[in-house]
Amino acid sequence: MGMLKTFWHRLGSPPWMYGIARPWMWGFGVLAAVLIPAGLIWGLFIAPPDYQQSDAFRIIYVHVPTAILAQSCYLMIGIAGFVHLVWRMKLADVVLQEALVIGASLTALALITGSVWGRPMWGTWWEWDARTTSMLILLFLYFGIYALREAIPRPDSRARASALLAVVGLINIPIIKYSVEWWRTLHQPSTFSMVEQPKMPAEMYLPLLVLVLGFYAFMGAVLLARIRVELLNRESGSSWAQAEARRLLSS
Amino acid sequence: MRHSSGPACRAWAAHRVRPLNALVAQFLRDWRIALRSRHEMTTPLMFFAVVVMLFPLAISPEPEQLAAIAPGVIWVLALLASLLSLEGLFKRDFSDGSLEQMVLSAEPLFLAVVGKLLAHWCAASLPLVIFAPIAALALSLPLEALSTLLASLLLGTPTVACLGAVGAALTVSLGRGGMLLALIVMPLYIPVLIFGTSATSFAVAGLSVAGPLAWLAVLAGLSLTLAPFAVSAAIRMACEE
Amino acid sequence: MSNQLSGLDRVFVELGEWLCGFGDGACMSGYGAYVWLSVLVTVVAIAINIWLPIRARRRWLARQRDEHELRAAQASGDRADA
Repeated sequence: MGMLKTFWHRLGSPPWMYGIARPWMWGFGVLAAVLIPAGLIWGLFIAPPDYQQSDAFRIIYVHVPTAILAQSCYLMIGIAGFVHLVWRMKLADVVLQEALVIGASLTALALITGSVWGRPMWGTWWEWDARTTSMLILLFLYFGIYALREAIPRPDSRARASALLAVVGLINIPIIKYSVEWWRTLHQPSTFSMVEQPKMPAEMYLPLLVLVLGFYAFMGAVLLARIRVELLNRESGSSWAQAEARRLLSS
Repeated sequence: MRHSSGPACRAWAAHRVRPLNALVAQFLRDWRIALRSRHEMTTPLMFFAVVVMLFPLAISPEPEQLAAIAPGVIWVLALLASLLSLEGLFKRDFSDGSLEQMVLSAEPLFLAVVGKLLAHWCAASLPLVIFAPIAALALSLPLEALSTLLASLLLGTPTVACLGAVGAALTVSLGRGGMLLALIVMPLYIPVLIFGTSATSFAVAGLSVAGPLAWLAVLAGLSLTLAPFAVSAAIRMACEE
Repeated sequence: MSNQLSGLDRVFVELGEWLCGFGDGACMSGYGAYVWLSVLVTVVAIAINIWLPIRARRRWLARQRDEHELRAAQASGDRADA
């Protein structure tokens, strides 16, 4: 308990975070650099083709991890917003801001790869099915927070307003998802679920699992890298950032 | 003990006796202002009417085609019209300082916000709900679906007002927040839109409308209890600047 | 198969068949080329996501270097004045 409390307090300290983020960033980066190529080779070349969708089903190996991550990113933004609202932790705002860009790009990516999958499967680039529509709404939720942040000039108010909007969005996401699924019940069941026993054979879903883990590691590495740079940007004038600048410039 | 007759203590005592005091006072104040500036009530209504007129001209005057799109058109327009009125929900109070007074007052901000939301709903949404059947008839919606349309609007517009108020409170300190407000709240409106239009379409098709209407009621209950907290927090932020 | 298709579908199917020339691994039946398209898009997105923080870091460092040089120049200027 005591350790947890010190950790919580330290989270508020930018130099501590800047320092501790570096080994974690490299750890996640190496993990992603191993898992993503391994999963891609396994999924694209070794896993057997689907008996209905043949080889085109392999798009799920890039599509499903990005789609899962796009939603996880919003979950993280919502939690960061909550932490910022309750404890006024400045680091939570940095996390929110950086996860926003990653999450929006992953959502757009999931929409693009989903549309590429839709072309051979449904014969159309865009189908208003439940998951596509939910993803599109998620993208607009990201855009909304981003636009609100852009519109507010004062950093303090910007942080708090976007934190509140993120929490409101997080509460609404399950309702939106449910309503969209209700609206479009004629629909393929979810390809992959952590809770349910997957209906795919193991040789097909194991590479997917590897890729999901790899993409999580990738997101962790990129997020930490972005947080480190943003901390330097925000704390440019402070003594620790100046020391870091001198260290980097002299090497 | 010398404070026992002070104004703060009296306010506290009054608050103990009538906890809904702040709510009623705020409601009456906003309602009276709304009645005095009638154009703010009628402009969204006229916007609604004039855009409804565009659809037969743009799509087709065929009753079958119009009836097919009528629930969607009316609901989408109700959302757009609500945006028009929401933009000004906190603007005047923010610029003349009464929003700040609301924050600083001894009464709980939460109750004042609920009063404000109720007044806004009565002034902006209720006229729209009353006018909607006329628009529905103009769009050849079958008569038997009218009551469902009305019920869906009555149950759905409180949620629209609550969610919209969160967006309006977040953007109140920004100069021109209209477009931003739309971008923020439109994705949140989607469940209401889905259940509202489906209820009406179900009624046209002769299916049971209990499911979507129950969902609208649940959403209204949820947003009426949760949204005032978010609105209060956003108002506090706006006033701290 | 590709003869019945038109436009972009045909391009993709022919691309998929052309890829078969590189060995069985690259060969994907039917609309396989779409798989490569989505993999390509994903790899590009990953690369951009890696590159953006690196660029931001470089920019920050360049700004710091400019400031340090400015300060050093000012300091030497002060010394020359003295």
